[in-house]
Amino acid sequence: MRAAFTSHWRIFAALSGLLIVELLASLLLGNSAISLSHLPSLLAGGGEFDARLVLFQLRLPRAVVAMLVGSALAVAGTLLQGLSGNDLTSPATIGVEAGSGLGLMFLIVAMPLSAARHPLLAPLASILGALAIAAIVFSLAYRHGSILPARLLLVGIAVGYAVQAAMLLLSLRMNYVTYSYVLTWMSGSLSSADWTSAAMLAPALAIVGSMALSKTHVLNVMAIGDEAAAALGVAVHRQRLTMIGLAAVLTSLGAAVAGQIGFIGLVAPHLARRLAGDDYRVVLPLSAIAGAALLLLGDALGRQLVQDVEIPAGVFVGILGGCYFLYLLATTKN
Amino acid sequence: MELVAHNVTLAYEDVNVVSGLNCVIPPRQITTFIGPNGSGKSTLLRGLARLMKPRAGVVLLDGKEIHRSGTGQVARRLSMLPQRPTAPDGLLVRELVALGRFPYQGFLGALTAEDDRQIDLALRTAGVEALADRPLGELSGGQRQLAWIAMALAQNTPAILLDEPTTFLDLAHQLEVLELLEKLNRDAERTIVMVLHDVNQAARFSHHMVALSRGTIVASGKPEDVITADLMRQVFDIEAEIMHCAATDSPLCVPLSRSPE
Repeated sequence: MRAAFTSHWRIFAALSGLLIVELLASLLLGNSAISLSHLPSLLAGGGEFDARLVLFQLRLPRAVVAMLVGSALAVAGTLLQGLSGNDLTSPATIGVEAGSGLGLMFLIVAMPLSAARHPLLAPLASILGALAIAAIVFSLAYRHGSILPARLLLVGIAVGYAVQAAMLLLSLRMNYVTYSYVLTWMSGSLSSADWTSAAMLAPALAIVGSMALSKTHVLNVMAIGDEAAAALGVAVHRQRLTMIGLAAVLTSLGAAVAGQIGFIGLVAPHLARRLAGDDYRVVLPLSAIAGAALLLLGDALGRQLVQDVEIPAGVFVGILGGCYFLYLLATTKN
Repeated sequence: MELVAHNVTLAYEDVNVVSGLNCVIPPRQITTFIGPNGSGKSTLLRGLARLMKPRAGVVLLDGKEIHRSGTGQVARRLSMLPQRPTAPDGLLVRELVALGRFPYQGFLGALTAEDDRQIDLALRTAGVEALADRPLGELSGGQRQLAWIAMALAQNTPAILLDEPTTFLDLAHQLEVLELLEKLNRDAERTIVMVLHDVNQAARFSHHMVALSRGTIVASGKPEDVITADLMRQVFDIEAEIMHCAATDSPLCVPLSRSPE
């Protein structure tokens, strides 16, 4: 463990450095810019009221939420890719993300007034939706006392499509305003991020994330195949079930706050593995940092790039991730 | 170390591959399962390694039912090398061998001094010390198989089970693997149980042989008692001449033709 970290400390330092730069940029830049020299006094509680308001009520919570959501989705993706032995698995492929969208839309269609009055109802509904769809996917993929990864992916993709069809159906019953709100959510946006969502995410991520970290050693062993891992004393099927459960919770938390940006769960673990190899004890925390950096960057670009119009973070995450995969495609020989 | 199958029935989905089978693995000896494809030899091995749960009957390890014992507890008594195992190509030989210490580790897998000692010993015993820092993807088939055996050795179990450890290796590497297993049995008193396709290699390296056909044991005992012309006909459907090889002091089977229908 120690050796694994010391041999990769440069990568950790570099990514963390990048994350800090992004954080500073997203705090300082925006419609009303804050200068770097003012930041310490603002953070200490001084400075102008307007600047303090922008910093503490808008930018800081938004940046914190971006980092938390990015890490949560990245960790979920790492778990899913590890347990399925498939690099193309992501929170989106097991239907969980779509489920969280369905939960939210259901709430908006069924109880539009309550949804507007109680800000916590929306995340709650999307978490419930995600877990319900996860339960359906698991029970369909469950056979003979185990969940086979290939079956999980097929069932997940199929159920995901069914859920999207249901969402389309629901969206036909919406008026323009509600629909555009849902559309923003579906493209993955942090515009609703505030301290409440940060306060919900942080403890949950701390608990589920450390549970995920405690599974990394098992993931390393599972990389040599189910049989060989079982021979080493890994209860393969039980471990896989636990990890899928953890990934589902992390995904639904992220989706509840920021919508559909599960693409981070595909790209961040990929990037981490490429930088640090196959040891999940290193890959998982690294992937969490990469996910945080990616979403923070996507959100910052979405806010800054075009004046007066906010482009959802998911759009830029998609563009960045897409470019990364094209780059991989162009540079990989086989 | 005692490993016993009692009245065991093993099945995939609804097809019984092995039914009502009794088998005692002699401790501190080399036991080999032989039989044609689909005879149930690999399935029996997997059942003994608790990788398959018997539909009926029990497998006993040191008198305790193997499927009711803790997985870690079993993994400290018995290691199993599956047929054609796979690992990430970038994994170093030393990292692979370190995974063999899993049954002894805490949940984050920090290696203790004892772990390091066992890993070094396993690398040395399997003769892959020089390859320790090479990634698996760069190794030849024979080197890779030795690395996997080193992983099983790091598990430091009294019994080692191997499913066709020589398949896909050339003759020299086949002998290298089998000689290593013979040495482990002789010097370290490990119980070795394996599935082999080559009847002559099985006869040459085993103390005890078990011949399977259609999920039942047809014969078991010393190689000279098991390898007979009758058994070859019964189990493999071939006519064969059985000779005695003076150099290895073991029976030698020369297949002549397929048995007439």
